[in-house]
Amino acid sequence: MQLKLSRSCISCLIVFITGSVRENKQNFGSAEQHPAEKDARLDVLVGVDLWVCVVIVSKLYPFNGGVLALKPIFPKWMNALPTILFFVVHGGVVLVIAGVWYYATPKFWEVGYMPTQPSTGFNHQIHAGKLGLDCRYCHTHVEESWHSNVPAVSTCMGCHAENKLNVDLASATDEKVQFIRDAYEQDKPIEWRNIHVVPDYATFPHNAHVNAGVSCYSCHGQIQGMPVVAQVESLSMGWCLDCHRNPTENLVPKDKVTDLFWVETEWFNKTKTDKDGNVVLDGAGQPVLEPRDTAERTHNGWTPEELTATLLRNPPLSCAACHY
Amino acid sequence: MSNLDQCPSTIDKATGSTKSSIAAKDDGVKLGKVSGKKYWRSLEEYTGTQEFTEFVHREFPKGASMLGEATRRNFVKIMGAGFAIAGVAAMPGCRRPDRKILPYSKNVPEDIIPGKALYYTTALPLPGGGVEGLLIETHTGRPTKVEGNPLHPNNQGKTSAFAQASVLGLYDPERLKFPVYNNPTRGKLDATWDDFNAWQKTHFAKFDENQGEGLAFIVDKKSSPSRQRLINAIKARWTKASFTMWNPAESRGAIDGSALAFGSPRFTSYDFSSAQRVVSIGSNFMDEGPEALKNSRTFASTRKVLNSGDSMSRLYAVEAKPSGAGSLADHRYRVAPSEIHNFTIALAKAVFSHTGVNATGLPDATVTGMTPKVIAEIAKDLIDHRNHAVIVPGDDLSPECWALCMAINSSLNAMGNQVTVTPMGADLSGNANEELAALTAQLNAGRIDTLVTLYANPVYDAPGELNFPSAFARAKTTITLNDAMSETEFASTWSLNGTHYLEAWGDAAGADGSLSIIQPMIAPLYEPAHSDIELLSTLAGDEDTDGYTIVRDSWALMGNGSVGSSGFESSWKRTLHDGVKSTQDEGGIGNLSMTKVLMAAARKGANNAPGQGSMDVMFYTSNNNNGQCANNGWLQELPEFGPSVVWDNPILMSPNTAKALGVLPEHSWQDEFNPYTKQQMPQAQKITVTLNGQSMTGAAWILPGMADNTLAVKLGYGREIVGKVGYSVGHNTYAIKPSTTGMTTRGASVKKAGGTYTIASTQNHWSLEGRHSLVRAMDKVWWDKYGNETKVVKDAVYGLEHSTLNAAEMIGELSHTPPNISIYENPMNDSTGDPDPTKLHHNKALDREVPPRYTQGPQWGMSIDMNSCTGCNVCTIACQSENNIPIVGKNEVAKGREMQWIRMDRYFVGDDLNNPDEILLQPVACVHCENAPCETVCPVNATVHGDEGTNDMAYNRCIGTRYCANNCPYKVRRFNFFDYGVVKFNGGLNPNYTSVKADELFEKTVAKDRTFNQNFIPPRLRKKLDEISKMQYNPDVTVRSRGVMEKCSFCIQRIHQARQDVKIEGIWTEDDQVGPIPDGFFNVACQQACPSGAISFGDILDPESQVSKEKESGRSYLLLGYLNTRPRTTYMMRVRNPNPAIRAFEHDPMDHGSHGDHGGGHDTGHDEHNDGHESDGHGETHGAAYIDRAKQYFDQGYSMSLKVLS
Repeated sequence: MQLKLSRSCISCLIVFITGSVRENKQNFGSAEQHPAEKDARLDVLVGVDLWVCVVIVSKLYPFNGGVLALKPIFPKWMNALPTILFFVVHGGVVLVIAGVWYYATPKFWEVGYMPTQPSTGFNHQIHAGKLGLDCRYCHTHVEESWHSNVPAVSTCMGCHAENKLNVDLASATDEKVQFIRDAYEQDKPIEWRNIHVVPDYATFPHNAHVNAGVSCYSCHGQIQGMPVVAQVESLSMGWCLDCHRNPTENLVPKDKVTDLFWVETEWFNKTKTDKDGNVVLDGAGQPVLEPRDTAERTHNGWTPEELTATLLRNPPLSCAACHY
Repeated sequence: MSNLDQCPSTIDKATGSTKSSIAAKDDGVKLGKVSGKKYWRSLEEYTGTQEFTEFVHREFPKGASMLGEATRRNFVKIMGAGFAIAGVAAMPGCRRPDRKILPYSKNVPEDIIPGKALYYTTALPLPGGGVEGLLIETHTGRPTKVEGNPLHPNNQGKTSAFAQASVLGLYDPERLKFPVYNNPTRGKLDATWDDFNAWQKTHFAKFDENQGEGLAFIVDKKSSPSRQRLINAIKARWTKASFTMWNPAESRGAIDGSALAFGSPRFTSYDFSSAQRVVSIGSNFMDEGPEALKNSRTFASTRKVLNSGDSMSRLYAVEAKPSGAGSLADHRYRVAPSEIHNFTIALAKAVFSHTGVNATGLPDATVTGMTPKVIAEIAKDLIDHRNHAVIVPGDDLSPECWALCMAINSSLNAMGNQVTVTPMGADLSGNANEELAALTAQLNAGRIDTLVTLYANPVYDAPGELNFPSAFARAKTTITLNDAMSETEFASTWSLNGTHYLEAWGDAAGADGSLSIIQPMIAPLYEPAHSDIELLSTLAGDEDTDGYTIVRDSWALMGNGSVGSSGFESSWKRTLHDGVKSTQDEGGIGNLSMTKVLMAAARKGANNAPGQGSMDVMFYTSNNNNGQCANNGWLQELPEFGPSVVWDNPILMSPNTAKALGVLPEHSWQDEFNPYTKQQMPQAQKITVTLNGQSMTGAAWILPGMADNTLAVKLGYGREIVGKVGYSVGHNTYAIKPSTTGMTTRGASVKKAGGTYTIASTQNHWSLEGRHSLVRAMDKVWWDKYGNETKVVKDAVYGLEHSTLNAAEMIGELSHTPPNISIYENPMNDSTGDPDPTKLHHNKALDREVPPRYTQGPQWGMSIDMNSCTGCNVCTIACQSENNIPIVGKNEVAKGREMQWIRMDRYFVGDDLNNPDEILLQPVACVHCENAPCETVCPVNATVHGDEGTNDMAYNRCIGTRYCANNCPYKVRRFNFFDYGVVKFNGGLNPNYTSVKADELFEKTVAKDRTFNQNFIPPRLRKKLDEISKMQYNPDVTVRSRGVMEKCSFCIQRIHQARQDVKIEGIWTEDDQVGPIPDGFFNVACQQACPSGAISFGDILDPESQVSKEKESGRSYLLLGYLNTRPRTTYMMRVRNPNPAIRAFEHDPMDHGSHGDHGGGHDTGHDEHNDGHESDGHGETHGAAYIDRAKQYFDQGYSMSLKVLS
């Protein structure tokens, strides 16, 4: 009787625990799903399963009416319990720390954020890459303001107004740009989704960086090759400070700040050679590329001293440089 | 208390004090014999009561760290609710917030660069005439900050507190949003402007037939050419229509007096820059009047001595209530308004006896508290400085008295030199009180059919004896236009929503004849809304009633060519850009009729001194400007000059008078029981004031320096229908304001009404008890002797210059503190072990050679001149506006939780509680110590030092331990006990706020949901997030949340902005690494606003910068320099310039008596001196200076701690 009662208690407890876990999980999930009934059933199932387990365990280790006749109370393997516990606990701690170390970082959560933009979105690969528009054609005030503006709809309409482009091109893209024309006619903004977010308590002046010779590439990556823009850097404080402590490596000549292909070639497209000076080829017969050392960079004819001079002053490291 | 203005070791030169009888209230007073001068801020501090001692020993006042009414049960209840709500609220927070970017679409404003502020000129018309030129900072179309227009001749880039705070009025969520029609049968109905226009066309048609019979207008008194043109047009159309130019706080003295002296009303303008002797007769010339800012500027220019021997003006102030002018005066006399008249007569006789004017007709007049010899000496001093001496009469003197002052000016040759007069238009010179009284009679007789009120609120602010509200109700139709909710709006048939001055076109004429255009910064927030000129134009039947057209038409009529011509357009554009078109006319000297003035003055005779049964009453307006700004929280929470009272208008009187009446304030925390829940609010006694048969009940509060038997009554409080902030704050004092006299009157009687009333006063908050020499002053004769002297002190690691003390430092403790070894590594400390400032050092973190701290420019510093600060408080408001500082409400202020970063410390000087010798003002914000005590105690490094010498707060790091505030010797850190900044604080903003009536009045506004304290709810759950109020915030500054410490940041956002601008503009050259931001390239907010230029800010490594020059002056000293905190903000000692014939100079502050001669005595004398401090016999040895027990204890502790350190 007692046994049954305790078994029921345990199973109830299990049902309760699993149920509440499910409930919590539910809250994190998408708001569109409402499988509340299904979940209740699942909880019952899990509960029953566990109850069966308890029954089996109690069959294996029976104790009769509270008298533990000849059998020892604890099985022999339990002698190893302290050792096992030691490793489990310590391993658990290590795992938790490692987990936090890896997961609880902007690098894990932020990098790769690639939200869907309204309608057909904006293809940087076509505009900035293939067509070669300068970044500043649209982000006009990046050199003057701390805020790099997203262009007004009227800027898009400069090309995408009807009959503006080559007829073939226009007809090919007519449907895709209709949302621009609609927004323009209604004088309503297009609700672009913000990707690169610096928190409100931190200030990032675009103008100061761009004018000092920090390329767009440093923070935004090879955006001229992105059909859909995604975040490539963590934008965390440590990442900012890495550059502020050692800015020279990340500087490019001022005329190349927005030329991201040039920056990529300069920094990364070094053909890998082996000891004998032969070009290393990959499986497809293409030369393997590797990052270029700072000393090997050409700087488009600028000397490293000239580059550093664009800073005018060492980048600030104090808290109030960004937080105020 | 206890701030000695001289070397502490010389304080044995006891002068023998006359202890006030009030001080006897506390037996434990340890004043003893006081030498030098004593500095105190309040009655409690003066008497050293138990409560005050307890108050200052706590970092925050008792209860400041409590949650509401903090019993434990309450706490559990509150926290329970908080957790429950937080649990619900936390869930959606786990997802990445989806942030949108909304760029412009089709219509892109041409000039707007997102992220960059744009500045436009406009102007603020002042009530009663005059104008302030402004430059408004706008961010993507919304105005956020008011600054002065540097090109405007009146204020030259400076502003008043009223102008600074006006931007908050624009975003007042309780403004009128649409017209309301009060239907006689159906009650109040929401309406539109179209409804109104349709209605008015038929309604006003009848006036075409009877020439406007029964039509009356009340407009606020200001000088606007466009409005005057439209008024004339209406007068021409309806000849019988009457106009009342209403100004509830009008002083008649200057207007009627100038009419008496010069034949017609004149505006009087002063220029003090060439004045050497100034006598202010009941005048608050640096705080009031259209040219207050100009007066501040020109007068301050005569006080900024930098070196010994520099010339300096001398100011005599004869006044009833302490004012900014009185605080700067070298001789201040407290004289009741009635007797100010007598003083003027006596002074006139004395002056005329020298100049040969026959003044025998003038009566003999005596003044209480001033001997004839003093008056004769003043007169002699003026005569000696003829051509450079000027009398400034107060605007509310009697006309005869005012004219007599001008007569004195004339005989001193001040006319044309320091004083100029310009004709005053009829729109300003009319007698508002008489006009309103006449209108009231018409209303009561039932002769007014339609009453139109524009931007005036007579239902509230008409003198009580007119009983205007009932007269107003007798008009058949009333139409009222105003930008904010008001009593008159509420009582009207048509209540129309008007524009704020930042929303509409307009123009304003300055007192000197300059013309300013009021340019809108933003389209009306609640469209459609109309300005006064637009409504007048509609009523006048014009076709185009757009404000832009009206103003341009007026501009054309003022001789700028016809609209559209090239000459017109260029002058229009130039004026829009500059904000002002200056006049070419220089004011005239007027044609003063001496005999007429003397005859009038003789006829007037002398006044009797006021007595207890018949007191003098002076009405005055202060921060909230006659009640118009009652819903402006910044102005409500701004401590008033003098009593430092916020959110209230107690009736002020001298301590003697209050004692005689038995209405001295009480303090509620004397209750020993339950000390933790007891609120620490000072209690004022309620009194009933009766004047001319009208009476009101108010609270009595004391103000040292007030004339005896005089009541100072602040106007503009006790409003009923204004909004949540201003509702029922204080008492309505218009009830006793007479309709026949101006702002000063006689014959009031006071009765104790019984009961007490809570007052929130900041005068004791943030006290630095037990610290010496916070404020310092020196007579000019000693300044001339010692001003350029310096002393090299061995081991003094904390001087302004290395090991060198200047004159101001020598009279502080600095030359008396023992050798000090700093725990801070600072190359400027000059001690062994500190880095060499000339050499590079290896930085481990950066792994490269770097110069030591504080040696590379720019290094920011500030200097505050106590010789020119007038206590106008504009710095506090400018800072509040720039840095998104919240308001907290009366209850919170009373608990010591006010948030303003700049506090205005006001010290009374001397031993007489009733008649302090002088008043010293010291604005204190974070002083940005190089060796900052706050930084070492922060457990999370939230407050750290910047490379440029600023002490920075990283708000997002702060966890709210408040250790920093505890360790700050200056008490300048402010803590967000609640989410003051996120929403408009609703938990006790206004303790008088009761929901019943207010809900009825504002059912369409935000006045609901007040049943529980909203501050305990997480921000995202608050229903009433005040979107409109948020628009005022400066986007460059973080809005701090609950649990975060904050303080002055040296406007770090402006510093960064300037640095970026300088870089991008290429002003920062490569080889110019030191001092790259030119001096004056930017201003910090307080410096930018300060009318007297008392605040300077800049790079202290740049020897050419203004701040460096001021810091080099012998007047410059460090606040608590002996603590070796090395503050970056320095203060400049007050130099007094008393008349030796009236007051003997103080004894030599450097005379060290037994210490031997000044020069060498100190270097060798340190050790002995230190012993002296430690020994109990200190008092006896030095002849019993003021040292109380507690203070002595601290001194010992301090000495001991130094011993431990060394």
